[in-house]
Amino acid sequence: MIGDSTAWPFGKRNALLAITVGGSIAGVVALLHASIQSGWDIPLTIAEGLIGSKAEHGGVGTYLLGVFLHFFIAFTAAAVYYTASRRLSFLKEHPLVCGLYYGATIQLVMHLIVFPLCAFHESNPIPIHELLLGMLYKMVEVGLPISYSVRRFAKARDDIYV
Amino acid sequence: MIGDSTAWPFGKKSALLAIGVGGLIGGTFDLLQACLLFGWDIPLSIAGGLLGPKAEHGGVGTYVLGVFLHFFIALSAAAIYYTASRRLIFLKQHVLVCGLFFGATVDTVMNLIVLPLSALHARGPYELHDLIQGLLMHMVVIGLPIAFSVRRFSK
Repeated sequence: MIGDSTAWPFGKRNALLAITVGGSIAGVVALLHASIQSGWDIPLTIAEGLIGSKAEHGGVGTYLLGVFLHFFIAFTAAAVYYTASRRLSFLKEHPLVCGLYYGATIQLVMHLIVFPLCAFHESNPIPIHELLLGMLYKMVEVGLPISYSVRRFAKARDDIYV
Repeated sequence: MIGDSTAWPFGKKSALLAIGVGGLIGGTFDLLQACLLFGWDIPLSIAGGLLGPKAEHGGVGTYVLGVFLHFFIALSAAAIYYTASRRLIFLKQHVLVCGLFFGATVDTVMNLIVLPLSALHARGPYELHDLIQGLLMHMVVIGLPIAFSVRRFSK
């Protein structure tokens, strides 16, 4: 029956809560950090990833698009971790190790796959310092909120299949 | 009592086997792929990490030092995975996922921490293509042999 949350194998409410809380905290912290460090027009740069270099001189709409894209990616990252944690239960049991790892993975995936494929076609060599520092930040700011939120809010698989 | 292997909490023989087999297979695959891709004087470049750029023109001794350093790092990586697997049991239960991730970690730690601190003083910036190729290669040739060997041989 539609609306009957028990019909859905994962426990709908827990899944939404885990993904939303993790994604929101990670997204807010990362965006605040980036804005404070690189200036408050960072969402324009993010929007550039979709609509190309004209976004740099964009207005409020472009700004909002950038913020939306940023949170879209943060929620996607949380959803990926949540989904993986359904089968790899250690992602829930060891949120410290796995969260830090997950943040590092996000940094590598963004730099090595997403940026080269998006509209600004990043293909410049990557400075060591930038990659390392960004990785450390993402490990703490993005990885940990997502992993701890999944542990806190997601149901144990055993509870679901009893 | 010294020599009584049961007195050692991990089971000495299985620890040595897990680390030895994983490190040697991983190290051999990695050295072979590096030599095939970049030429057979790669061990001289590895020795350069300890001796500095003058190792490029080194002789047999420098070459052997490079091979030794390479396997020292490979065996250290295997020892780290083995040690971590004593407390994080999932490292033994999910060897495919954890092995691939461990290989990526080894590559990242080497590129971002070890090479800049070594006598080669890598300063980057790194080419995107090199980073991706190195990452994928090490995930398979270093991470997987170590993870599977720890699962196979450790108690």
